[in-house]
Amino acid sequence: MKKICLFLSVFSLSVQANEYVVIANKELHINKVTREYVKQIYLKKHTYLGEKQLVPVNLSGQSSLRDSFEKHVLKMSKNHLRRFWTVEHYKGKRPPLTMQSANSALKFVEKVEGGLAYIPAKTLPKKSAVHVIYMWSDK
Amino acid sequence: MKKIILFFMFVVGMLSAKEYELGEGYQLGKTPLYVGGYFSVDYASYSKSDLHKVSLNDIALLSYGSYHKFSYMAEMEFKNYYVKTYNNGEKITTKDTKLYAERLYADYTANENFMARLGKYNSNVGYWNLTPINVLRDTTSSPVTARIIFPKYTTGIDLQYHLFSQSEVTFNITLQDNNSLDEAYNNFYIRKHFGFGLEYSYENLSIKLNGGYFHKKDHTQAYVDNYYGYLSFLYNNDTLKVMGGLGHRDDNKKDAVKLSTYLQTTYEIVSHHYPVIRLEHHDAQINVENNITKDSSVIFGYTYRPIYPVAFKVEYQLHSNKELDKFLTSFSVMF
Repeated sequence: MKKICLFLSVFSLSVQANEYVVIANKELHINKVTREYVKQIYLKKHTYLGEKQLVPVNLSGQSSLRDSFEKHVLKMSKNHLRRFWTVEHYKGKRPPLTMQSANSALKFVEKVEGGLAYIPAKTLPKKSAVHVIYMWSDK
Repeated sequence: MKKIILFFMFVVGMLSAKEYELGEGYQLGKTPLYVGGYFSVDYASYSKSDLHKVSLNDIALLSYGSYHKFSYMAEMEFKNYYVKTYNNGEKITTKDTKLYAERLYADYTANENFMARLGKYNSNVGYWNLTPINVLRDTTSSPVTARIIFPKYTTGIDLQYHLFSQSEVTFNITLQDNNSLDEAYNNFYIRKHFGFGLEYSYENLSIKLNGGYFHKKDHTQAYVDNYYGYLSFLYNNDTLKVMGGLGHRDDNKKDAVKLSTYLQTTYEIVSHHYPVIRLEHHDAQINVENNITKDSSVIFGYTYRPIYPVAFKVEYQLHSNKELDKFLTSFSVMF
């Protein structure tokens, strides 16, 4: 029986997907939102919430978390994003700021009123000046 | 020539800067200001006549930035800087070294819903007109529809109201009641333009309806009232892009353009390689090209982009009016 329990727990760990969250500064009065809404913010189509400017941050291009975000939330390939931001450059728009790590992104969102970022769910501190507005997993 | 040398020195300086990526502009120090630009070299050869044309055009510099709720865009351009035409053995070279203000505007974003634009801007009509430069197009040529229905540029105010949920709805009104900035650069000489647009976007699909009125100078230098309606769409996913437009324009003679339409599909067949096909039709009472008022065409194109901001393009146009059949090729870069 012990062996079966051990096998099941190892199996469940192996199939457990990584979970991630999109966080926003607590001053941003924004509740749980849809994936499409997060996408509009990260493509800079939606730049204000009321009168507060939204400041989304990305992780660096080499980050696997960023890959997951682009695949599951933006649902856009790297090429498509490159195409998109080249066109936006002509329109005078810039891509989101880039942070080197999830930890620095978290600190940014804690400090900046309109800040938003994505981090692994397990790294979210229990007491923090941020709140979760969207969740996704690699599943 | 000095201007062109200075232009390319500027480009080389920018390309050598650290952390610069082609097609994304260059940040001026730590300011919120960016510069960039684009250029294109084109070649056209008509099949039924001995007419060939080489041109260095669309040499432009962009500058933009934002501060709090304000932002601006300035785009200065040499249009047809150098054009060499070979017509039945005769060579003609023309140069236009005047620097035009292609776009010059300031935006004020009041809140999540409302935005106001003041200055000269691409008329907010359809999708082709919002990114009309060679390097961002999928073909060297533009559809006729994009130049015979509405003014490409407006010098005035554009007010936009956005509503966001899972989808996005945008309503805009365009107001011009003054002279145009660098009006020779526009497809029509206009003094007035009042228009509206209603757009719905969800994920990769956007649909837009435009309508409006403009006051256009005709060949007798008299101003004529014109009214237009335009329906357009754009679908754009990772590998497929489909866009189309359908328009009508009345002037005081009615049916200046009874119907003008296009449908274009671009598919990234493998990385960096983009075959394109475009169908076009127009039925008008005006001289669209070579005294032709009615035409249908199919355009086969292919674009190679080693990276997205660099484009090598070829296309062949087959028209119902055979004298319009032509081959086009171009090289364009955005930086």
